[in-house]
Amino acid sequence: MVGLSEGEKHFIRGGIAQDLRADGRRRLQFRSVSVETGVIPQANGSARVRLGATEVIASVKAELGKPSILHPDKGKVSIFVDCSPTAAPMFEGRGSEELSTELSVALQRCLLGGKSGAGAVIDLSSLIVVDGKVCWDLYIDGLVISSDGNLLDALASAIKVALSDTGIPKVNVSLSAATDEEPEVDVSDEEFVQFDTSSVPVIVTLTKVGKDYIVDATSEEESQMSSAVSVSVNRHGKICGLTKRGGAGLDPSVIFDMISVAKHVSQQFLSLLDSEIASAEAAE
Amino acid sequence: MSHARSARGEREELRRHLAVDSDWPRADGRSFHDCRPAFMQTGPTTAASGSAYAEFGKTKVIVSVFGPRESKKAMMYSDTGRLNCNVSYTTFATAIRGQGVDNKEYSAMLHKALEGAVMLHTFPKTTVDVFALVLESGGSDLPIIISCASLALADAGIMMYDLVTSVSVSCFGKNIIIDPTSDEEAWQDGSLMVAYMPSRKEITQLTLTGEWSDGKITNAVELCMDACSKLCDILRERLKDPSSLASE
Amino acid sequence: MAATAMEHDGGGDVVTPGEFLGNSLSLLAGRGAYADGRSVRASVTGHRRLVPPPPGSSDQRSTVEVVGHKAHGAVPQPGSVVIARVTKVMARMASADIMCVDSKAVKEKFTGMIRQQDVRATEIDKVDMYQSYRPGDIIRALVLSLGDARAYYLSTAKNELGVVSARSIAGGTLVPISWTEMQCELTGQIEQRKVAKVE
Repeated sequence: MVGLSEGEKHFIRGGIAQDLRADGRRRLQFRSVSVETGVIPQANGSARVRLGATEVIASVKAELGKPSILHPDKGKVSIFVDCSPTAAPMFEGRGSEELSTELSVALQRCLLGGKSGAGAVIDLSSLIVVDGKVCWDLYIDGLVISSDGNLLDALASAIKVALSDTGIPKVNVSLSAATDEEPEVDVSDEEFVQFDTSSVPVIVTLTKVGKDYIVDATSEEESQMSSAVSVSVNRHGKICGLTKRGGAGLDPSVIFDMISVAKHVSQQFLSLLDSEIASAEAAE
Repeated sequence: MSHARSARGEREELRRHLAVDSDWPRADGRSFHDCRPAFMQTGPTTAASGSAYAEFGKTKVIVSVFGPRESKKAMMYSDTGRLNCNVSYTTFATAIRGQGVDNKEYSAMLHKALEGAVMLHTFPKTTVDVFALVLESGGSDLPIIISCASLALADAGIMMYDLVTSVSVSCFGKNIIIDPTSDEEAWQDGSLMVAYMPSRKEITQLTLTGEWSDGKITNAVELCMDACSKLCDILRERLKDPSSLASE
Repeated sequence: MAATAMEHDGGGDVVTPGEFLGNSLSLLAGRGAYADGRSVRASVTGHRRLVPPPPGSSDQRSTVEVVGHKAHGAVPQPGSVVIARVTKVMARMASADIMCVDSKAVKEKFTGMIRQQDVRATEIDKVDMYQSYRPGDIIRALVLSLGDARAYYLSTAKNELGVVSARSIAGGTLVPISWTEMQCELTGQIEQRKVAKVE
């Protein structure tokens, strides 16, 4: 996929060891982020995030549905990622299946919290309309348009921005329906309920090359990695999810160190994203 | 109806205890930091190069390893060997009859957990196929699949750096309980799974869900690593068992 | 039963992958073991064996080997002698299914290929594939290299390599009479093959 000569590999590794990467960044520095909201008018919320050359779009759609039997007082959220063939020719057809599944699972783990619902980013009980009968189904879809490394971070930030842009229509339930029948719901077009996204976490992927970690790796740097750890941290400094990617084994002390570095870096990234969201909302 | 409600009431009560008390016997009588008794055996499948069966309480898993052999779908030439993992559930594995399809997420995670341990360069151009079948799902499925798969790989004689064992913990409030059953998993606040190579002291896979603080993660990882080392001793005992050696 | 398993190997104790075998300052890692920094560890399950260093070598460390009771099925390596059955003969190459590697049978066959220039050592451009092999012949060949994604490259360009056993058109066994000819037992007909000189 990424063909690098021995000289280029040596250059990348040596640069990282000396805290000066190929594009001039330091090890713990992100690329320039640009954020746009409302790119898909038909969706309830959408966002487009550019992280260097990596570009992703996230959209949130809400539809009325039935809650599951096991959790009648909660709505449903499903997260799905698709890699478009425009990002890389190998993504055509089934080629991107493995990568898409990996990204979807990692995002679900970070955003949906434990099975009991604790620690979830979106309060599922706020999505319920009529207990046991009608609830909102949230479909969060991510699309990778251009891939230059660090897809997970870009997707997580796009989802965060899309959620802040999302408005769930207010629903009026007609009370005259009998308890056995499907209640009638009236979806209003005017009033919307916004989500509170201040507690949505952001994902920071730390890529280990040699003995050092870098943040926001390009696809060239990713090809040189021995392993990577993606940590999801929210504003309060709590870890909401962690996935280790890459094959090589890691010493436990290295993992703990990576977690603390990720916490530190994520606070900066969070404040950057929050300011971008605020400026996008102000512009509307 | 009333029976279901009383059972649900009991579960709520148990959940409250698990979240609040510092030590309370769980549904099967274990304390918070006890793992289920493990039963593992090599060689149930004679047609395969290596195989293993694991039974941890209600979770039963069988893993077969084929190879190294020529891969049927070899598209690309590769200098090193390839590891192909596949996890599937039987239709009768869960309480509600399932579809019996391959679980792609678990297959990818099994691959990542084993990748770091197998010496791929010793069988270039060929593939080692690992097929895991979950006969009954009683909680903590993936860690048991990983441990059973590494036992099957060792039984097949594939060269490895070390055995990989894996354990998961659930978090309830401020308590951490190890090796959860499926009932406990359904109501957990967070979970952490570690796949560990005890002799080399390396973690090959670590996944975390829910909200955790730093100190809690450290505690949980250390608890897991400890349990993994003990589980690895059990695996080694199984491999050294003279009856399995003399069967050749 | 357990006793015999332990006896035949000189009584080495059983080790499992990842177990510590010794310090790399005093031991070399042989087959079934690997060196990891300062320590030498096992990589398969089996009995541990110490091989003393060959006399006259500069390195006086003995080699530790792990003899696996169930080493994984043979895999063709460059330089190993294999027994294969010819499946297809074409103008410039022949395909064969590798069945044994270094006198150990494989569990599932591997695909090998003999190119025109690898059939014999002399006059390699004048080789006629149909007069060297026929489908169904059992040949002994040498693995040249891992080849491409589909097949290993095999060579029979030595005296002791080539057709070992074959059946004639009439169905009888072929008996070698020279380097290039074999005779059918039943009919006496002579057929052309690249014959192996079996000692």
